[in-house]
Amino acid sequence: MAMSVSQPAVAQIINIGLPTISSTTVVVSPSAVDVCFHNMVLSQKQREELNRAIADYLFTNGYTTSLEIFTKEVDIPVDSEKKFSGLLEKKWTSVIRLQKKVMELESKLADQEREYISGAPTRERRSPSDWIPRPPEKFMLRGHRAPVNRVTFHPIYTLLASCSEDSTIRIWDFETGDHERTLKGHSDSVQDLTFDGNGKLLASCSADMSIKLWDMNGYECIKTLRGHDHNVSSLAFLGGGDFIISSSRDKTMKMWEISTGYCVRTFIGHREWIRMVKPNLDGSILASCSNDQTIRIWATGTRECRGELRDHDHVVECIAWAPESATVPICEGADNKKSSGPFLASGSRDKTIRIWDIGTNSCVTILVGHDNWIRGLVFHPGGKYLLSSSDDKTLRVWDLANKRCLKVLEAHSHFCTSLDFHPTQPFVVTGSVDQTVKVWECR
Amino acid sequence: MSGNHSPDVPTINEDLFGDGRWMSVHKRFVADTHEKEGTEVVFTGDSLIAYLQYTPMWDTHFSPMHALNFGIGGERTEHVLWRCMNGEMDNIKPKAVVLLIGTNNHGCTPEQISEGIMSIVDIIRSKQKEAEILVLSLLPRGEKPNSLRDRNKQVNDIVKDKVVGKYKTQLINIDPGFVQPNGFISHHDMWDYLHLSKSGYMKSFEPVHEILLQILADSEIGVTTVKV
Repeated sequence: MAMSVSQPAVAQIINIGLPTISSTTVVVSPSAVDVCFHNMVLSQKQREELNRAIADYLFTNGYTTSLEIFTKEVDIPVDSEKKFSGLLEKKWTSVIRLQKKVMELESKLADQEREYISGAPTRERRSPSDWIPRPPEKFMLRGHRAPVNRVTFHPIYTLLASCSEDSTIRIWDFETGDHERTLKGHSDSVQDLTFDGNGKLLASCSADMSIKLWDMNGYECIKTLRGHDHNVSSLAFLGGGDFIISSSRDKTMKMWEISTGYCVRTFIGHREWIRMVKPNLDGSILASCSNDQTIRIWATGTRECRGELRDHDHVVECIAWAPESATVPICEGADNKKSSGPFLASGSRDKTIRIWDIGTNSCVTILVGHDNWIRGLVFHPGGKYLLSSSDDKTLRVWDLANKRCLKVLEAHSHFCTSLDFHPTQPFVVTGSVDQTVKVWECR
Repeated sequence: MSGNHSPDVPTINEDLFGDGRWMSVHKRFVADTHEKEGTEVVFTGDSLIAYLQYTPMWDTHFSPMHALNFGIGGERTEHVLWRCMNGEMDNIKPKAVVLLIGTNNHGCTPEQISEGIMSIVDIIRSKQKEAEILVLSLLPRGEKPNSLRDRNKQVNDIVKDKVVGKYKTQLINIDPGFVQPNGFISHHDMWDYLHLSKSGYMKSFEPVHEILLQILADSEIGVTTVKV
C-alpha cells in the first residue's frame, strides 16, 4: 500500500475526503489540494516547491514506489540542487516552532499587561506617595460642546466638576463615569471653578465678567457677584469659605464677602491680564501670575505686594503652592538644602516650569521638557511629584528630588488645558480643548 | 457681482441669499481676536485656507502653533481686504500672517488681482508692524490647461516682484508641481481640480510649515532648550 496513516505529513496534504481509488495510489487533483487547504490558494511557484519538497521527503524516507508514481504524475525535474532536502520536515516543524514562539510571546505580553495595569511587581511595596497616573484613562467623559477650561475634584464625594467655553459647568461621578448634572447660568465661557472646603458650595467665574455660587445640594445658582470689568480668569475660596478671591483680565484681583456679595478689597499692581490667583494653605499669602510675565506675592490682609518674581520669558499661565510634604523633595532637588519655603510652582508659555522659594523670592528649580505652553500644575499630595498639563497635549509627572521628568502621558488629542489631583484618592483628572474630560487612575 | 468690483477696494461680501452667514463668520473671527490673545500665526484667505483647518495636517502641524484660520470660501481680494480693515487684524500680535487669495477674482486682469493682493499686504503691515507676511502663490486649477492657470501664474510673477524689498514680506511657492507633464492635474491632488485633497495639502503646505517653524524659533530668544 502506498499510503498509510503513519505518514501524516503527506496524508494531511493529500487527504481530501475522496474515496481511495486503489490501495496503491491516491489520485490528487489540483482542485482537491485547494479544498483541503480550506480555500488557501497556492501560487504556481509555491505549488512547484511543495511538490519538490514532497518528492524529497518520499525519497529520503525510502518510499520509492510512491516517489516513482508521484514524480510521474506531477512531472518534477530531477533535483540536483539539494535545495529541497529536508524542506518539508522543516516547514512542518516550523508550524510547531511558530506556535511555541506565539505562546511564549503571548505569555510575555500577559505579564507585561499585568505589570502595566497593576504597577511594577513591587507594587505591594510601593507606597501611595509613589502612585502616579498611568494610561489608559479610566474614563473619557464626553458632553461639553467646546474646549474644557478647568477641571476640579470634589473634596469629599466621588465627583468632579468641569467648565467649558460652552458656558456650562458639568458635574461627573468619577467612580461610574456618569454625568450627574449640567449647571447653566453663565452667558459666556466659564474660566475656572472651585469647591469650598466641605464641598457644599461650588464657585465659578466667567468671561461674562461674573462670579457665580452654586449650592451643591440642589445645584442651584444662589448668588452672582459682579464688579470686575473684564473676563474673570480664576478664583479661590478664602478664610474658611467666607470669602472668595478672584483674578481678572481687568488686571485686578478682588476679594468678595460671600454673605453680602460685596467686593471688600481690590489688589492692584499687575500690568496685564491676571491668569490665576492661588492662596497659600492658611490664606495669609496670595500668589498671582499674569500676562505681564511676572508672579506677584501679596499679603492677603493688607493688600501689600510683597514680591515680584520676574524670571519667566512669556505669559505665566498657572501657579500652584507646594504642600508641606513637598518641602523635603524640593530642597533635595534645589541647591539650598535647608529652606522651609514656602514653595510655589509656576508654568509659563515659555515652556518651562519654575519652583520658587517664597521665603527668599528666588527661583530654585527649572523644569524643562514640555514642547509647548504649560497650562496647568498640581502637586502630588505625597509631595514627591509635580504634575503638569500642556498645549503639547501631554500630562507630565516630574520627580522633584531629581529634577527630572518621570513620565509623559499622551493625554489628549488637543491642548491639555487643566488638571487636578484628588486630595485623598488616587485619581487625576484632565481637561482639554478636544472637549473631553479624562479620569486617570494612579498606581 | 464679480467683474465690476475693484479688487483693491474693500468690499463686504453681499448676503445674496438671506442667511447672513458671511457676516456671522466675520464677527466670530473678530471675537476670536479678542479672546485668543496668544495667537502666533494667522491664516487668511479663501476656501483653500478655510478647508486647511479640517485636514489632519492642521491638527499636527499648525494648531500647535496657536494658529487662527480666517479663511472663508468664495472670497475675492476685496472681501479679505475689508475683513482685515474691520477687525480681523486687531488685538492680536501674531508672529506671522499667511495669505492665500486671488483665485476667485474672475473678470479681473492679473495686474488688478496683484493690486488687490498688495493692498491686503499693506493693510496687514499697517496693523501688524512686526509680523512676517507670507503671501502664498496662487495654485494652478482645472483638469487641463486653461486661461485661469495662465492668469494665476501671471499674478504670481507680478506679486513676486512687488514683494522684493518689502519689510518681512515674501511670496512662497506652494505648487510642488501639480501640473503633470501631460498638462493634467490629478484629482488625487485636487479633488475638484481646484480644492486640495489631504495629500495635496501635505505636499503644498509643507514649505509653509517649515518657514513658520523657523519664524517661531527665531522669535524665541533666551528660552532654555535643553531637553530633560
